Amino acid sequence: MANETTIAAGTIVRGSIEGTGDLVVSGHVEGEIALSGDVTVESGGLVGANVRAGRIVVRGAVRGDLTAEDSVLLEEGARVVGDVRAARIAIGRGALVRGYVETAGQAPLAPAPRAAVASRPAPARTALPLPKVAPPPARREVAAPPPPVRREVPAPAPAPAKRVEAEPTPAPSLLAGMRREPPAPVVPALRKGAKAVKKKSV
Amino acid sequence: MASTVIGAGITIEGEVAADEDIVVQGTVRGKLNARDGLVVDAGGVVEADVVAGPIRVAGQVTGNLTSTDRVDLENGARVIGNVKATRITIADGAQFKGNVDMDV
Repeated sequence: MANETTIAAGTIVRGSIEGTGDLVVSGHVEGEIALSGDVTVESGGLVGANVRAGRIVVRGAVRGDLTAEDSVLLEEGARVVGDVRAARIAIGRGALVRGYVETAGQAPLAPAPRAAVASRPAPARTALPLPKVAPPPARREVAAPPPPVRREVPAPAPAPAKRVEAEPTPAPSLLAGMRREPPAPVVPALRKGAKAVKKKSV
Repeated sequence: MASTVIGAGITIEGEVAADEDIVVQGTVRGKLNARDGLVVDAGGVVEADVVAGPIRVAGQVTGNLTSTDRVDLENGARVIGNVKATRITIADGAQFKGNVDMDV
């Protein structure tokens, strides 16, 4: 009871509800809800308002946008018309939703996948330059090829890993093996970029 | 059903209407309408005109209190506004400024 607010069945609130703590709605709220804690719309609860909260759990009806810093859980009996945004969104069996749903949000889970994707290519870049002994040009070269790799093999995740293992051997030979004719343009690009200049300069 | 509770730390601006009891531990501004009782706990703040059944105030109320039953202002209550009810008690230690209208 410490910081919990309850809008009981039979209670109607028109206006804004904001502050800290948790809110349980079994009644009717129209206006706006902005809380730092959890907002729960129980079955029988009716909310015609945009809701912003830490976590949102819906078992009743909501007409308005749901935005949570942490998670939105739409459970059985939930009826939501509006946009849903949160780091994590769960739509359970029996929940009805009409609107735009986005899990990107702001919170920790959004950056995580990006970081993972970035970390996988990263080792490949470091692995390639080592054998070549020409760091700056190598990065440029590597930066160019990866996009085609992703396009070629989008679905199978293990693919990049295999290439990372294979790539430590000189890249030009690999590329030559893959495409017998194309290697010509790739090699000149290397020489133009840095190898020739650096060798001369160094 | 459980009564409606406006918890501490919560602010409602607008209108609240309830069929059951309302307990205010936070802040309500606007209008308060309860078919049943209203309790303003110590620490609770109501800046609204209130129409309700029995009203018990231990917190702070700015606005007119209208009750179909009784109004009790407890020790620590701070009320500014007119009070209309069939029965009214003002406890020692309650602060009150306003008119009192009892159905005689």
